[in-house]
Amino acid sequence: MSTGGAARAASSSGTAVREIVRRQMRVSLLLIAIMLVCYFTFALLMAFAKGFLAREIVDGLPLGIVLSFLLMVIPWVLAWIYVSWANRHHDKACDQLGHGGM
Amino acid sequence: MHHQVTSMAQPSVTAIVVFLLLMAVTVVVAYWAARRTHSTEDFFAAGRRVNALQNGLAIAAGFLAAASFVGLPGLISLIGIDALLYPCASLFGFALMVFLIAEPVRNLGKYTFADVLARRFGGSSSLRAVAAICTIYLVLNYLLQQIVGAGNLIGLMFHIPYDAAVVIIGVVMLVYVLFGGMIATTWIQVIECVLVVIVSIVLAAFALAAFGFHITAMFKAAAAQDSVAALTPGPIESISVALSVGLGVASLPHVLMRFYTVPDARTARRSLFHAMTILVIFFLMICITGFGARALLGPRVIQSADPGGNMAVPLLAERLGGTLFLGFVAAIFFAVILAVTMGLAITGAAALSHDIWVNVVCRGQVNNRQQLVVARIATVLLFVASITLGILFRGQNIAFLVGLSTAAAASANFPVLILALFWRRLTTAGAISGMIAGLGVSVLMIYLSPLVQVGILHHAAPVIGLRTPGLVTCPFAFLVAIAVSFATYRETDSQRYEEMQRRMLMGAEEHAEAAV
Repeated sequence: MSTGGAARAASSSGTAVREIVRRQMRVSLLLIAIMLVCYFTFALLMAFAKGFLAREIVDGLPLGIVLSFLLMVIPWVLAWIYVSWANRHHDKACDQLGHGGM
Repeated sequence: MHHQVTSMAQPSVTAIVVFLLLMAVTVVVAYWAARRTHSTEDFFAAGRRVNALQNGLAIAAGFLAAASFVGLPGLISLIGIDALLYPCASLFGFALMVFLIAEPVRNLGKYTFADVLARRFGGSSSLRAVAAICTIYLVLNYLLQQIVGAGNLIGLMFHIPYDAAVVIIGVVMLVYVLFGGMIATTWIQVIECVLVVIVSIVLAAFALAAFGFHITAMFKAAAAQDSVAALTPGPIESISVALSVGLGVASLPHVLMRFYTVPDARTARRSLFHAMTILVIFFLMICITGFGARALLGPRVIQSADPGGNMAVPLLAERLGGTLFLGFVAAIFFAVILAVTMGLAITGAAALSHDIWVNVVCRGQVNNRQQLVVARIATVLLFVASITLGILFRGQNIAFLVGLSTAAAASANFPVLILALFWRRLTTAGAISGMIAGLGVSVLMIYLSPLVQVGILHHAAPVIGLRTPGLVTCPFAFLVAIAVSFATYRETDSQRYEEMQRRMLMGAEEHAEAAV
């Protein structure tokens, strides 16, 4: 920050940083939105519609159990999507930042 | 055979044999680890050489405490479907950690949650002190839960007095952590994780076998049982639990600390995903076990052994696999408690020595050898505190202690951590007041809740009906942090934010060593 050149370099790598963060947040927020909708729908059903969750979808299998088992698997699937996205794209972008910006 | 007559009053030979075997293995691990612990980085972060799978297993093990292995299936056995919110909330919290928290926390910190805030705001010692106090509060709460729960159950299963059980767990934890540090903790957690997953699968398989592997027959029998109304959460309570547990799990200090044991952020991310895989398998199995206990034993029998349902798994194990299997489960339970308390102790020791002593009191002017000495003294202090609290709180309902910690984690840590990472305008004062508000108000609300007012002080009615205050305290902490930040914002603050964003992506191990 002492010279104009350093400040320019810092600000151009600053744009790159913002771009990477923006892309990462887009992926994260999309996945979080999906998860929030599923999770809080389930939590609200748990809170206000216990009778509905106790209903059996096939003989002996209540909807509540099926949904809750799904609700354990959904975050795992979403995390898998995020991790494979990050392994493929995000890490590369961060590595380039390391070489170009420093 | 009459199922209320159990052999639990006598120490089972299998329990003792499996227990001694486990102790032999863990002593070897701890000794091996002690010979590799030379620096503070070894002691707190296992030299940052743990790989993704090992760390994933260790994260899962550190999280699968008494509440998941004994408390959750017990609650399912008493109230059925209503208890299923807890495992869903836990996985929700872990996914949030993958999306938002794991990578930045790994890249910004050195050993603790307070490091992350210090990276964002510079070396404000009051900020670091407040963050460390939140961590120590949470760690002591969790330690207390483990120790009180284990004191009861291990006392029962091995036929030893409560105080003796508490002291035994404490001493084993102390010795292993003192000499083996994070390396011993990691390996003991890995071993425990494998064992506990195997046990959960065997338990579920035994329970299903009792119904000829017709899972619907088991659910049908479980649905026919009555539920314990007093333990069934009301609508607002359910939503508060969903919020508190989900967000609290995403910022547990002893889980965050495990990110520092791996070489970089990408490994932290992968290890968290491995942990989730383990947790999905474990929770599915332990839920089936819970429904099995509900269907086979029924709430009345389970409550006659322990009103909180904590004896459901031991009773079921004995019913299905005899004393041999019960002994095995009892020994595994001891391993669970040991692994979790070790992780907690080391997290608390890091907050005490690295945050409070080294950075606040000594302003970073401490050499490596002294740091290691201080870290070990801090471990001893935590041991003394947890044993004392464990004995003071004997016979206390664990549910009360769980309420204390999840809401506090969701209110003291989560809001400030998220704002520090993703909100440009957060200020030092905003962060400090957010944490104090979150912790303070959740402690106050627990004090006014039925848990303390009715359960401990024996008043007729509580001041506030909510047992888990996260629904109120978490948004409140967000609001306080945001409002104070607006009042104290200066332009220069956002420059630090840009610098932090860069570190969030790239990590800066060399810089971090010099500056933190």
